[in-house]
Amino acid sequence: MIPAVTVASVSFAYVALLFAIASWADRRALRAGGAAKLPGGGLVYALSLAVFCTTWTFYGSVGRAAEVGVGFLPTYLGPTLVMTLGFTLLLKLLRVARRHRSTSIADFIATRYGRSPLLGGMVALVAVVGITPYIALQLKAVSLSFEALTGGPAGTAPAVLADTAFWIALLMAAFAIVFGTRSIDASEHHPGLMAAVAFESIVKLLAFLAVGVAVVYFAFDGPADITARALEHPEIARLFTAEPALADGGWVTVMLLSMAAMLCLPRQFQVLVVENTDERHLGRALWVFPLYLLLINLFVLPLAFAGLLLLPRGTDPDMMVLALPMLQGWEGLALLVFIGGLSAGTSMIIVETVALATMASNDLVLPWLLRFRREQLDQVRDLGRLMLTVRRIAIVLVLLLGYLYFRAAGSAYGLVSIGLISMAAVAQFAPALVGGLTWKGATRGGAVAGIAGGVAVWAYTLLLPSFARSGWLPAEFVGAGPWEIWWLRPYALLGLRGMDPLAHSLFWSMVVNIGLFVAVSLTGRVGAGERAMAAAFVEAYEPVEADSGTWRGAGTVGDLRELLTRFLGEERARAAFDAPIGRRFGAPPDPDARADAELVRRAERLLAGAIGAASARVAVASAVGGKEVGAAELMRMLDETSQVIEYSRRLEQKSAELERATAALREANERLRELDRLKDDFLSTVTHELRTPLTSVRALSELLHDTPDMDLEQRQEFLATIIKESERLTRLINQVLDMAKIEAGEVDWDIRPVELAGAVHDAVAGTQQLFADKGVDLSLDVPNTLPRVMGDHDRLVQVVLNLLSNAVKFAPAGGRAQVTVKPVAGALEVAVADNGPGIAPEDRAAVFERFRQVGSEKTGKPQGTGLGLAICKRLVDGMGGRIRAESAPGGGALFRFTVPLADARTPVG
Amino acid sequence: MAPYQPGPEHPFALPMKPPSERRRQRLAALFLGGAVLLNPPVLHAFGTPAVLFGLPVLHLYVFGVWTLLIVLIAWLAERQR
Repeated sequence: MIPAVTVASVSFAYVALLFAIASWADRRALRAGGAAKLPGGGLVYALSLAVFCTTWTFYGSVGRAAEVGVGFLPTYLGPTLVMTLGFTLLLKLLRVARRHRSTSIADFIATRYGRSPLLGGMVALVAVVGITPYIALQLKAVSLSFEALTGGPAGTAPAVLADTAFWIALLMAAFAIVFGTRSIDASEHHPGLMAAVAFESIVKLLAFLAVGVAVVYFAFDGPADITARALEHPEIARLFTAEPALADGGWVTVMLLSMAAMLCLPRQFQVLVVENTDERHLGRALWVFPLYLLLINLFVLPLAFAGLLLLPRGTDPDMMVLALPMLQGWEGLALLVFIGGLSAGTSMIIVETVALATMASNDLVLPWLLRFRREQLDQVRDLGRLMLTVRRIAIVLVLLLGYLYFRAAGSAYGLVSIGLISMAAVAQFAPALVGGLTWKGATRGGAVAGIAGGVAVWAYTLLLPSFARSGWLPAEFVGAGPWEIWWLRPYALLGLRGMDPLAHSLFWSMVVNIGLFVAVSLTGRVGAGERAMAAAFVEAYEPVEADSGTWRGAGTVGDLRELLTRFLGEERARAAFDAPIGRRFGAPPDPDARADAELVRRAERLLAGAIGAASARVAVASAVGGKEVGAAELMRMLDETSQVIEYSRRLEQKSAELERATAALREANERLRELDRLKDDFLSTVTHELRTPLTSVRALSELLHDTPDMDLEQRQEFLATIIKESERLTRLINQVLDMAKIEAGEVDWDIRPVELAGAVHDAVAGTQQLFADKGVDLSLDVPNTLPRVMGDHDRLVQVVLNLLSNAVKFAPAGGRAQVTVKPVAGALEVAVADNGPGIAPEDRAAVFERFRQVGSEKTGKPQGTGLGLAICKRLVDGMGGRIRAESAPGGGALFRFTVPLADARTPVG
Repeated sequence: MAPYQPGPEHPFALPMKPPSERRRQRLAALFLGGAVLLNPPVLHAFGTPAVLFGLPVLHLYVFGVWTLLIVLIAWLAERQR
């Protein structure tokens, strides 16, 4: 036995050392210009995660191993598995929390679901209620170990003032207040706190390894010796098998529970997320932390076997770690173990109370003040000080609550059971937390319903039975169910049996929690702001900055500045608000200027770091006086804008169409005018052409009629002229009719293989007289053997005839014309050339148009209807050939047209 | 509207480039492996009262798999940094 005075003074000396370390680290960070970087890279961060190992681990593991063998391990295997999700889940968690300056898990969940104060308050309340037993557990362990070490009266509670646990609780409250509530900005880091926690992690690990090595290698002859001796006792050898660990299905339950706890315990969230200074530290922590867990558990099984072998029956298994060195008379080692246990307890208490106090002040007290005590709040000048005071009071209250629970109910349970009840409570946050990070469809309604339902089931199946065991409720409540309704029994809800109470509770609470979470999320409505947050959380790796809703208000820069000053203090407000604005605008901010959306947003962010996102939103809303642009309004504005855009787009389209139509109309009009002019020309030409022969016919006929005694020779001459002129008339009318027929598509084609040479000769024969009359020399170049072409013989004759009459018409008297036929690719070509004036290049396409007569001042108006070439073109086109006008060598006109061969593949000849 | 960047007056966790998809998935695959190897059906297989190297087989197995898991996590997390 060690005198209580010695143990107490060593304890206080140790706590004093913690104060010194924390204070040193704080000052060091301050000197480094506020950049609160911890030394040792990620090592301090990784070690601070080991706050996971509380007295529950330090004393409880051996106790549990003595009952179920490896069954104590899933609590540590679970977090190891969570570390494998480091880059998928944890990094995302860190990043999102940093971006939104989350101060606690309550704040984080509230932010994710649209900055809901209801959700934040719920999480904070559940955390405080659920974690209180866990804090009580630490006090109980410290108290128990103190008694075991000093040989105090175990089991009989001492007076409060003589109780070690009470003084420890007070000391821890002081520590948490000094190092945990130094600054109003709770999202900032507490380097002193973390340094102390990391130091305590080292102490508890070393203490446990020391007792392990001492017992295994000095009390025994190595682990093999313990194993060999344990094998002699069947009840100990039983622990070598998987049976005790796996019998009641607790293994999987506890593993899932510890995985959830790793993320959802307020102190784990605090060290893992809030206190993270550098995301790169996470990579180191991913393996250092599991390694720490492995090392601290390495000697648990040998110690449990040693305890069972050496210690008298009836020894509290939770105190075996301390009882073993005491048994061996190693008092120094026992003191070290006590200090290790104290480390485990105090580090947990410190971080947990800071985390809970932050939650309580930001998510419970402040929203309440903002809502119901607005007038009084408005009179407080320095709200930052008020918030710090609230937080400090919360720390004291949380610790007192834990102490009360310990005094009232602490003796009814083993260490492990109390811890598991707490873990099961905070595990209810896991669906909302993990779902919120991975599922965009998760909604506030779903999260509220899931957590509320899960916590209700947890309270009914774990918390109330624990009250029954403490004697606050009748024992029949557990055994027979309330009002003796069998299916309401808390340990066998709906008659579900065969599971231990924890697995049973976890099963039902998770069924209700996840079920409600998913069902309500899928059926409820989601606001636009919430949807934006969901995207920002789930797609955290995408570099987008989403924010739920912007502000539009009538607030001034001065209003914002005053709000910040009230919460953050003059100095911080100046550093965080004035300086950046000065940089942006190049001048100190004008207090009367209207605060733009970005300024308001910046102020809200700054405040969120201090009082939580949900409270910050309310506070800013009250200061700016404006209202948030609601989701519905936003959607409406968006709708209007897109409608306007749509209308304008349609208008543009219509106007473009109109322009096109106008252009087409103008073109058509031009064309009509042109056609009208051509028609007039044609009519005048045709009437002129008709009148000339008609006049001569009429004049000659009258002469014949009036001169009955005309001599025969004269009469014959007149009659011949009349006949010739009539023929001319007939030809003219035929051409007009022909053209009309072709235009109307009424030509009867008789297309078949024909000899082109024959058609050419026929045409030449028909025009021979014309040539002879005018004295134009016509030469032919037609090869004897030519392949046959596909065409209509009569139409071919007509084309050549037209071209020849054209040639003779334009050739000067005594001039010459030539007809050439030659094969070209897949066709025969007929060329008719003359040595007349030729056709100007710009008119070559026009000559084939109807009624178009090409002429010039020099050549004068040519004779003819202007239909001959138009008819030629249409006939050639109709037979599948092409016709074009060129300039003949020597200056005359040259017309070429082609007619396709009858059999293009095997040309005849 | 420019996204808010924590100024120097707010010492805040520094962002790092998210690890590649492949690395994330490899690490997460360990989760599945660990979950299978460290849970009942497989544990039952090793749950014999036999002793190997003077230690119970089940205890050796669980701690062995755990060590392997940590080594693999360390290898994947520390590589290429």
